[in-house]
Amino acid sequence: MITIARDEEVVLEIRHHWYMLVVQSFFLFLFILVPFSISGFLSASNFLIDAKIVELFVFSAAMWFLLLWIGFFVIWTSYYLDVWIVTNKRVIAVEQRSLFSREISEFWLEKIQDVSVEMHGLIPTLLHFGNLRVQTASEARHFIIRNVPYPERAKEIIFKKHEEIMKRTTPSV
Amino acid sequence: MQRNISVADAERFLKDFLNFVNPPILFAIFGLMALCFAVASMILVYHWKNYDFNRARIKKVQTVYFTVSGIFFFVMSIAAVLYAL
Repeated sequence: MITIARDEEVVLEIRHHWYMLVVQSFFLFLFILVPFSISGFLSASNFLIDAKIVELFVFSAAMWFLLLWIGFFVIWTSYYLDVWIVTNKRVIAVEQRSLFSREISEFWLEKIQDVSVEMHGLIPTLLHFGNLRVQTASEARHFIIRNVPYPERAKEIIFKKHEEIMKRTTPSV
Repeated sequence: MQRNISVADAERFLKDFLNFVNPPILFAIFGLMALCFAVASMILVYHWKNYDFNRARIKKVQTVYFTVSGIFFFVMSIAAVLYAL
């Protein structure tokens, strides 16, 4: 469970780009077409379609869409809970591998040594998403979140918050 | 030897299929689906409530999820009742 302290403010939530959600749920979008193709086939053919067949078809189609709807939310939940939460004190990195597999780690902003951004490929460049890597002085030395939208902006915000903390904690000469 | 499926064959198959899927079977499928939905929803809601700190946002997600699911269940139940009549 993620607990944000009262004196802590959430500055940014970094999730994967929506493109990743579309890729993961692409087969579900294709499966939406199945009932439409069946109904198209039935109406195009010379079958005698009575009311019972229509009722059974509507029942099956609704059940099919419901299954796809649940499937989509299972994918969406894994996508949504895989997040980096940047607060004014720390970064909470939640890696949601699947619905029942997750890893939560965190690092304090003052421990950050370097933040870098990587963008590889045509689609990431066009849609502005890439990897964000943070190097820290803590035991778990580097953290990475892949395929995040506008990683440069996230980098800037993390840097800004890091600088604010360093100004506060470092005594001026 | 290959045999082409005629329209009459397909219609016979559909009639046999309709005889097989009688109303009790359809309602059993409905019940099974409701059970699967309940289990899946419990798992999803557990994740949303425990692993997201933004309660307002998750409430909206729950509303959308349950409203659309409710519509599908409503359509399924109407179709099942009409089929049973």
